[in-house]
Amino acid sequence: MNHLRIPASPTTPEVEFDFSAHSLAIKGESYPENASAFYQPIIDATRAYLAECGGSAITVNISLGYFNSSSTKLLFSFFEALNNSAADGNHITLNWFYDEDDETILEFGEDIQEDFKSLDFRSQIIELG
Amino acid sequence: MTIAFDASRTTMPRPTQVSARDLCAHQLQVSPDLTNQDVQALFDQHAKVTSLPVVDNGLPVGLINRDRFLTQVAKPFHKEVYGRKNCTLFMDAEPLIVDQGLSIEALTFQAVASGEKALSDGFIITDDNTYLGLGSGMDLMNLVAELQAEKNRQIMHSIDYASVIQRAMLRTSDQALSESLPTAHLEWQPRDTVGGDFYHFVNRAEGWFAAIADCTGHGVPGAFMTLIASSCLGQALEKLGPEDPAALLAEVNQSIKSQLGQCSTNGITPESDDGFDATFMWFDRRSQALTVAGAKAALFSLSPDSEEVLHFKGDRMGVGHVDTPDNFKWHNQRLFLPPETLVLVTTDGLIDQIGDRKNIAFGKRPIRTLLQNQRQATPAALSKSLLDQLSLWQGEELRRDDLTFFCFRIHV
Repeated sequence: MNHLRIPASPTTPEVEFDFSAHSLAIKGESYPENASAFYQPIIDATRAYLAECGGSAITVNISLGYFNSSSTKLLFSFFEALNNSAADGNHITLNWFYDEDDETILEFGEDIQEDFKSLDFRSQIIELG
Repeated sequence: MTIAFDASRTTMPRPTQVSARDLCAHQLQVSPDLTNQDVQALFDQHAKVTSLPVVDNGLPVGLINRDRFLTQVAKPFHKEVYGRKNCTLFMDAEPLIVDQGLSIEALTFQAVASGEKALSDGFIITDDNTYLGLGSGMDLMNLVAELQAEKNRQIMHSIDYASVIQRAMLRTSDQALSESLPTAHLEWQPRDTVGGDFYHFVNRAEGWFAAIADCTGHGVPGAFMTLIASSCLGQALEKLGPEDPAALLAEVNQSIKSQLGQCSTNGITPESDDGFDATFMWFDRRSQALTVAGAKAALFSLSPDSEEVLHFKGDRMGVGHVDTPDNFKWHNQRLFLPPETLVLVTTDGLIDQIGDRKNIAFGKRPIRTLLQNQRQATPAALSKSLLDQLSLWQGEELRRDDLTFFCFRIHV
């Protein structure tokens, strides 16, 4: 699979994983009734992709305004897969987008940075417009 | 003695699967050797008939739509040229034909897929390929709306009943809270009638215990989790007493992990990665100390002699969940809060609510500011202001999560 694309719904984010371009993006909000059913296939596809990557420069763009606690657990599994792969030699940049007034999302980013040290974590303020 | 009562139950309504059969109207049908003149006469005679099924020896052949038929016949010379021809000439030879046993859901999808005509002309219902009757698009829409309303009604009744059970579980705590802290305010708002937030209060002569917790999931799955977590907490309190919140968190962690099969030893991939975030606290009336332990907690306090709101977060480790170690030790913190100190404990439903013009989270800042600006207010008045602010922030946005917060003032 070279491309994983899931359009956004009111309770699930847009997923745009262009594996051949080493570009993974998640954008929107996340509070599905069954978070595991939504995220597990995404995590599995990511793991399969990472297993085939060696020494690649991968860019991950995350712009999430809200995610519930079940989604948080699964997002952390996703970041953990990325972190393990980064520790194994891929260079993974994680751009964590937040609104400059959104301390909640900023703090989440800080937690991720603290937990997943192999990722090249970059806090990015969302530009207006 | 004869009893004047018909005890036979054979005519009572029985639950059955609603299907295409229920839309079957036995309308006029025509045979394919009828002429267009005959059909026109039939349409003239039966002004309400919008389509005529063409049936050949019990087998459906097509459907004649009134408007399209009359348009054809009205064209110059058509009546003369085609009047004596067979009525199959102007019929739709490929109408939607469905078996009587087809579910309403499948029928609706097929009707929509076949375009407008199934909704305007209707569709033919067969039994084992034999013509049974005609269904109308309007009747289908009516039935779909009725089924939808009935399903919603059943689900809501079920959830309302579940809510009775969930609230009953919390009632002893309500009692304990009003005895231990009569001026405190507790706000518990499940997003979907039932929810994943719960609280637990115990009142003792030496002090009081309080737990504010947010289980994974909301709605019914969240409520399931509150029942499990709350019962685990009840057992832990019986075993350990209320004075060591950190030990209680550890005890509940172990029992949740074991009840949901999340322990690392069983070798099977656990199906449930559920658990909860919580603030557990014990206020000792003798020492005036509040001992707090938190699993991703959010406790804010403002003492009367201070400008700064303190934020206690606890350990960044949820209770339960697959990757929380079986033997994880949470930490107690003893807070010596002077009398009149304001305390507010909340779940993330408040902090994470999306709103404002930028659709971002409510955050912690409004909580801090409110405590500072209204430090003299009663917990009830403060809580009302907080809810008003949240409502203003939320605006037209939907509630994202269950919401629980607990506000009290330290009294000697």
